[in-house]
Amino acid sequence: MSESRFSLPALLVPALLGLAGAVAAVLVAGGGVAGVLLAAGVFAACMASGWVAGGLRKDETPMTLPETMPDELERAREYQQRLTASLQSALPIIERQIETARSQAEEAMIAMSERFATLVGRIGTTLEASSGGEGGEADAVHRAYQESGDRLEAVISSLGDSVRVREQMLETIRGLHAYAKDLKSMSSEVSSIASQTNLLALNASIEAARAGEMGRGFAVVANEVRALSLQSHEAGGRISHKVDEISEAMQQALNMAEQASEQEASVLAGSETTIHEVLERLQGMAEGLSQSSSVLREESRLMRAEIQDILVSLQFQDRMSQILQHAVESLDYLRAQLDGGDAIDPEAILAEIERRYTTEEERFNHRGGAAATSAASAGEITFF
Amino acid sequence: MAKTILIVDDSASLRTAVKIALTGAGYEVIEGCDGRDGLAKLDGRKVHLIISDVNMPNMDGISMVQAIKQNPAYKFTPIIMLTTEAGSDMMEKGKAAGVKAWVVKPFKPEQMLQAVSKLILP
Repeated sequence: MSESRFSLPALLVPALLGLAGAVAAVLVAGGGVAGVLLAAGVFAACMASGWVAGGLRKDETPMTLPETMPDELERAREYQQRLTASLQSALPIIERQIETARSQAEEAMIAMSERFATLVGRIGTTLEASSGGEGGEADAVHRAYQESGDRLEAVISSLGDSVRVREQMLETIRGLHAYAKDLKSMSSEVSSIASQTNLLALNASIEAARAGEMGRGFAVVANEVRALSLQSHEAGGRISHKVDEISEAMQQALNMAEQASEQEASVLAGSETTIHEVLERLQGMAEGLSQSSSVLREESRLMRAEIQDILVSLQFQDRMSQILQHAVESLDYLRAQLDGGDAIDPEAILAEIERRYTTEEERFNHRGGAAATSAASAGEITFF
Repeated sequence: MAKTILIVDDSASLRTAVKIALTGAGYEVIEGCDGRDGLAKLDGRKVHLIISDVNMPNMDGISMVQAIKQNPAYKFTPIIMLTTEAGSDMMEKGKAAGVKAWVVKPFKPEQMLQAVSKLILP
C-alpha cells in the first residue's frame, strides 16, 4: 500500500473545510434560511471528513507497520473503499443542495432588482411630471397669480382714473359756483344803478317843474328815464333771482357729485383692499403649493437615491453565485477524481480547484485560516 | 443626444445595478448577457463605451474584447472590465487585449461614473 493513498484524505480535509468555510460565509452573508441550513449540511459533511481524518490518524500507526500484518491491511483497504463510496454518494447531494441555494438566491435577487428598477423608473416619471420641465405646477400657479395680480391692479388703476376725472369735474363746478356769486353781485350793482338813476330822474322832474313851460319837454324825458330805471331795477331783481336759482341748482349738483365721489372713493378703497386680500391668499396658496411640491420632489429624489444604493448593494449576489458555482464545480471534479484510484494526485486536485477561483476570498479561504467575509479589493479601479 | 454604453454581464441583477447608475447620469444603456450576445448587440450601432464582465458562459469577456478590437468600427471604443477577478495575471490579459480600465466588483456608482466620464468617447 502506497503512502499517498493514506495521505490523500489528510490533504483534502483542510481544502474541504476551506470550501465549507467559503460556502458557509457566503450563505450566511446572503442571509437566507436555506443558506444557513445548507451551510450546516456542508459543515456536517466536513465533520464526517474530520471523522475520517481522525480514523486516518488512528491508521497512521498501521501505515508504518510491516506488510506482514494482512488483517490491518485488509481493514485499511475496506476503510478506504467505504470512504470513497461515502464521498461518491454524499458529494452529488451536497452539489445539488448548493446549486439549489445558488439558483434560488439568484432568482430572488433578479426579481428584486427588477422591482427596484421599476420603482426607480416610476419615481423618475413622477419627478418629471411634477417638475414639468423648468418650473412645474407650483410655478404655473405662481405665474397665474402674478398675471391675475397684474390684471386686477390694472382694474384698480382705471377705477382710480375715473375717480380723478370726477374730482376734476367737481373742481370745475366749484369754479362755476364762484361765477354765480359774481353774477349775483353784478345784478345787485344793476339794481343799485337803477335806484340811483331813479333818484336822478326824480331830481330831473323836480328841476323841470321849476323851469315851468320851458322844462316841460325835459320833464317828459325825466319821466321816461325814471320808468326805464324802474324797469332796470326789475330786470336786476329777476337776474338776481335767476342767479339764486342757478346757484342753488349748482350747489345741489355739487353736493350730489361730492356724495357720489365719496361713495366711489370708498368703493374703490374697499375693492382695492379686497383684491389685495384675495391676492395675498392666492400668493400664500401658491407659496404653500410650491413648498410642498418641492418637499415632495426632494423626498422622491432621496427615495430614488436610496433604492439605487440598494440595487448596487445587491451586487453581492453575483459574487456569491460565482463562489457557489466554483464550490459545486470543485466538488464535482473531486468526485470524478475519486474514481481515479491510485492515480489520484492531491496536489493536482487542489491546483485544479484553485484554478477556478475568481475572487480574493476564494484564494484566501484556499490558503486556510478563518473564512473571508468581505471583498477586500471591491470597487478598486485600475486604469491602463 | 445621450451617449450609449453597452454593459455585458451574465448576472441580470448586476446589469440592472449598472444600468440604474448610468441611466441616472443621463447615459443610454444597452445590455448583453455574455460575450457572444455582447458582440451581437453591437451590430454596427454607435456605442461610446463598453463595460464587460470577465467570466461569462458562451464567450468570456477577454475573448469578446479581442473580437471587438479586430472590428475597425470599435477599435477605439473604450472598454472597462467589471469583474470579481482581482488577479494581476488576468488584468495583464485584459490590458494586452486593449482594455482601458479594470473595476473590481462590487462597484461603487460614483467611481464607476468617474471612470466612464474619464474614458467615454466625445
